[in-house]
Amino acid sequence: MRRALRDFLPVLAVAAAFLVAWKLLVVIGGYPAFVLPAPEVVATRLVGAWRDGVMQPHVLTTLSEVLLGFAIGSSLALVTGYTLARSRLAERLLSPYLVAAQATPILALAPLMALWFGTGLVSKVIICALIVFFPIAVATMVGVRSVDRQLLEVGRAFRATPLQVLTRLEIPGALPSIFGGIRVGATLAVVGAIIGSSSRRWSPSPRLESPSTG
Amino acid sequence: MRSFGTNATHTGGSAIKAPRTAVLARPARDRRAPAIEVRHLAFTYPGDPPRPALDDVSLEVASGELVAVIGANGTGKSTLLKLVGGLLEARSGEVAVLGRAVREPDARVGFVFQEPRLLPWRTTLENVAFPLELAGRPRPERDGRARDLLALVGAADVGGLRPHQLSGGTRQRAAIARALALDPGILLLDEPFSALDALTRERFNVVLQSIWRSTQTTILLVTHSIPEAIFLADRVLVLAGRPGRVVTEVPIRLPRPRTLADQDATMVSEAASRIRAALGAPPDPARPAGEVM
Repeated sequence: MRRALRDFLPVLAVAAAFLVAWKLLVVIGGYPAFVLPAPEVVATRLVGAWRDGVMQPHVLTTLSEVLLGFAIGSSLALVTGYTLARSRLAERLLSPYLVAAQATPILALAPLMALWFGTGLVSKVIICALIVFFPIAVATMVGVRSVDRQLLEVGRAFRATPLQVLTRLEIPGALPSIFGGIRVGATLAVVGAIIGSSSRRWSPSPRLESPSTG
Repeated sequence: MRSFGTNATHTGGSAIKAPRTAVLARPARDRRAPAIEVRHLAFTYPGDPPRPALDDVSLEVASGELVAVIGANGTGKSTLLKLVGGLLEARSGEVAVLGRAVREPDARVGFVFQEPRLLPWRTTLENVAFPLELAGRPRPERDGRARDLLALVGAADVGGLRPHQLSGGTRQRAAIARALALDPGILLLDEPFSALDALTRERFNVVLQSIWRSTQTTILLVTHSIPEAIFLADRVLVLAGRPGRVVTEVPIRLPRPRTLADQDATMVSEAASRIRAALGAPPDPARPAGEVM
C-alpha cells in the first residue's frame, strides 16, 4: 500500500503541476474561454456531457472503430512483416507500395475512404487499420530479422519443424520489437478513428477546409 | 534411457571425483561399426571468392570413443563438426553417423556450441527441456528429464533461473545438459569451454570426462587447447593447413579415469610436443601416423 502510494505520488504531482500551469496560463494571459478554457471549465463540460448521455454513444462508436481497425491492421501487419522479413522477393515486390502508402498522408485519404465506403463504420475502420499497419509491419520485419542466427541454428540442430521455429524461436525473439510497434500503432489507431470521424460530412465539408482539422 | 545419478553428485562441488566404476582397458578402436565415419570430405564455403575450409578429411570415431580434433583457427574444425552434425551439407565426400549418411541434423546427435546459445526468454530448465519439447514429449517427462540432466552436469539448483542470471560456466553446463536431452549416442562439442577461464576449464574437463563415462556417449570434441585434448581424448586428430586436413593422429594411452595430476606425466608432455609439432608442420599426408609411446 505504502509502496503503491510512493510509486503513484510522482505521477499525481506531475498531473497536478500540469493543471496548475494550465490554470496559471489562463489567469495570467487573461484568455477568453473560446481561445483557451480553464481546466475546470473543460472538466465541467465533460462531466455535463457525460451526465446528459451525449458522450456515451460517441465514445462507444469511436472505441469500436479503434478496436476493430487495430485488430485488422495489426493482424495484417504481423503477417506482412513476417513475410517481408523472410522473403527477399516479397520485400522487393511489396516495399515500394508500402513506402508509398506510408508517405501518403492518411488525412488526404480520409475523404476518399468516405466516398468509397460511405461514412459509416467501414471507412473509419479501414483508416484505423491503414494507420496502424505500417509501424507494426516494420517492427515485425525488423524484429524477425534480428532474431539471433545462432539460436536459429540451435533450433535446426535439434530438428525444429518450420512451425516450431516460428512459435518457439522467431516469435519470442521478435516480441520486444513487435511490442514497440504495437505501442506506436495503438495510439495511432485513435488518431485514425478521429481523422475518420472528421470526414463524416465529406461533401461539401466546411470542417475539412478549416485549419482545425487540416 | 541410460541411467544417470551416481555420478551426478560428483560433478557439483569443488572436489570432483572420478566415477566409481572404472572402465578398464577401454579399447582405442571398437570392433563394432564406427559411430562417426568421414570419407574424403571436402568443403568450400560459397561466396566471392569461395573459401575452402576442408580438404580430403577422413576419420572414424568408434562407438563410445572420445576423439579430440585440434587445430589453429581457420583449419576447418568447426566446419568439420557442422558437417558431421548435419548443419552443413557435405557436397564432396561422405559423412555417416551411426551407420546412416548425414543429410540433416540427426536426433541421435547432440550439439554443444562454442557459446551456450540458451534461449534468453526461457528458464534454464525450459532450455534443457527444449529438444524434448521439439520432439513432442509430454510435459512431466520433459521436466523430470531436464531436472535429472541439470543434476548430472552439476547445475541442479539453477533450473528456475534465466540464462542471464547464470555464470558463463553454468550456462555452458546447461548447454551440455540440453545436448544430452534426447539421450544422443553421439555428442559433438565445438570448443565448448573456450570462453571459460583456465581454472574453470580444468574443472569442466573433469566434469565432461565423468559425463562421458556415465552416459557412454561417443564424443567428437573440437578444441584449440592441447592440454584439454590430451586430458579428455582417446585420440587427438591434428588439423592443419588452409583448407584443413588431418595431418597427424596422436593416441593418448593414459588410463581412465584421468585426473588433473596426470597432466604432469612424461607421456603427456611427449604427446603435447608431438601435437605441437604437427600443428606447426605443413600438411603432409604421407607422414605415418605413429604413436607417441
